[in-house]
Amino acid sequence: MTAAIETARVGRRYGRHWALRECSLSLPAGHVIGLVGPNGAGKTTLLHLAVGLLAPSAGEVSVFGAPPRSPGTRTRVAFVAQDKPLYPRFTVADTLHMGGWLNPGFDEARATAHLTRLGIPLHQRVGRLSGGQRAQTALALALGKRPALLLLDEPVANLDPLARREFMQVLMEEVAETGMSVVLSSHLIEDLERACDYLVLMSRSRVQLSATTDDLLAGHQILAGPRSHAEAVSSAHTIVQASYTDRQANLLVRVREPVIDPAFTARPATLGELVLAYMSHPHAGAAATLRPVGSVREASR
Amino acid sequence: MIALTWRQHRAQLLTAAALLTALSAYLLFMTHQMTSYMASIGLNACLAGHGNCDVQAEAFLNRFGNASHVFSLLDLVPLLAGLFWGAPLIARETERGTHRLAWTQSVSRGRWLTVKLAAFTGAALLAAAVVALLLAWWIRPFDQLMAVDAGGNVNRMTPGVFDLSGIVPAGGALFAFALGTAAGALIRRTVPAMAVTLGGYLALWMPLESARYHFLTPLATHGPYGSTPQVPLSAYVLGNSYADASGRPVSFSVMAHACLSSQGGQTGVRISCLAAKGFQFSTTYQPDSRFWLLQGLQTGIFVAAAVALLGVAIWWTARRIS
Repeated sequence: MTAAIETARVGRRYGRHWALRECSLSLPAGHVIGLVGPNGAGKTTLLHLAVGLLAPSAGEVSVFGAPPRSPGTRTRVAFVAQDKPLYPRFTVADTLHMGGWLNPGFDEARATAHLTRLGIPLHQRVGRLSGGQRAQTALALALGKRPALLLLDEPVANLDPLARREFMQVLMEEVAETGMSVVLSSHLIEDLERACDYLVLMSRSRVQLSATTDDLLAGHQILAGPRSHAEAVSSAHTIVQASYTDRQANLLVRVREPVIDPAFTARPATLGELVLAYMSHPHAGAAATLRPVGSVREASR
Repeated sequence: MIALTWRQHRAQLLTAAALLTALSAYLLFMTHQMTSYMASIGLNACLAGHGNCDVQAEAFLNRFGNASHVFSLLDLVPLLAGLFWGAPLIARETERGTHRLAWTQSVSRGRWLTVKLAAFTGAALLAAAVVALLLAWWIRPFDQLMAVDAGGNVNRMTPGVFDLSGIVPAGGALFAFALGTAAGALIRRTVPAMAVTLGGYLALWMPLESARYHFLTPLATHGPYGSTPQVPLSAYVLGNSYADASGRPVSFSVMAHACLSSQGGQTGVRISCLAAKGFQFSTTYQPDSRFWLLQGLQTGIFVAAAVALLGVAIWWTARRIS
């Protein structure tokens, strides 16, 4: 199966600063992919490259095997940019008309029915909608395209918890119904934890992790045990993050084999813990040289 | 895409149409007033009969002579296309981030830009044509008066009128629109782009106001000092100058120094002396017959600048905005 998005050593430079570099990814179709990383990690740049807003400074990007700007790709990919830009003087109905004017096969009737069901007044100007209504309008415009791939840049930032839940609910219903692929970015894993089954973690302009959440959860554990045994653990597993008290060691490790040291208690890491550990150690990861880290403070230098 | 262009810019286009309608109504009303007044005082009949019409002409000019001042205000009308159509075209999108909405639809960025540029270019040309036609009609009584030397100081070669006649307003509007679009694309903020458009337009337009009369070497008439130069009434006079007997230009003070005399304590220049010494008086001018050639040259400059600026705007929009 063709990857939804494939990048080969892609880089994007602004002047002398690389917003994204040496990014090689293959994001499988049919997943809800969370793109997580701190602000400035290169998430927006990667999304803009994938929708053809940006051209790469190095390397290549393909979407369903074709260049992002090719006509075939444009019709299959929908994008909701950061802050969900819409024309404030257009009414909601105008906005949906626009979807029809600019996209062949745009399902305006369905988008209209959908927004009506959500109680959004069609004749209201977009500039006067609430944040949640505006987000739903932007989402309906993107979904009306019936895309095979939907990309959303920080879609739930600036939304109140209720609007946030509603937004994700609509999105997940659509995914269940159509089987489209989705890439969502956020700097908070909590936003995406429940929706995603695939995670891409970015930091400092690079991709740190890219795997299904099942693999990530199965491949990591949190170990608690005597500090004196930590050295032995590091020879068998990769320590992503470690914190120590006088005698106790708490280790988040990538497990290569079952933990058999009876001195340690093991429990699965949550996605949140995992992401936070990798984020605070930007050099830990598949591509980077792996080494046990002495302490949190020392490692985050 | 055409539907979106209309929905998005209809307010701008309708405002322009309303302003143009108001201007047309004013000019038509003025023209009507002038022609009916000409008929009522018998000026029409007089002009047709090749008689001496000085009395009627004076009455006419007393009443309508100042109307030409309107044009010094209207000269910069083409600039509005740059300020209110060009500058916001891309800058307003980038200011609000809506370019990321518009350019990620199935319609390509190239087509998006092409349709918008074509729509505004068409509208600008149409508006310029309307202005030029109305003005050509408005100016006719003054042309008639000047043609028989009955007074008046306005014809289509006059600076303020030349700018709104023929094809120059179309060129000016295109240039202004292209300048605004390019400034908006490069600066990405509407108000600064408007300021740059204003400055850039004036920077080309103001030098052209005088330079355009020198694109073709002006004609000149020479005669002995004191004679009346033979310049066609319909021509635009650029200036008068003095020359010595060999035809070398001299300043008035040099010339006057040659014929200074003192009579009864009064110092003065003796005119007869100047003529006797061979000093000449010459007048340079552009004849009305060169109207379309001069129009074409100025429009050519505007259009060339517009094409270059649109090229920059298109290239920049396609490559540098994300």
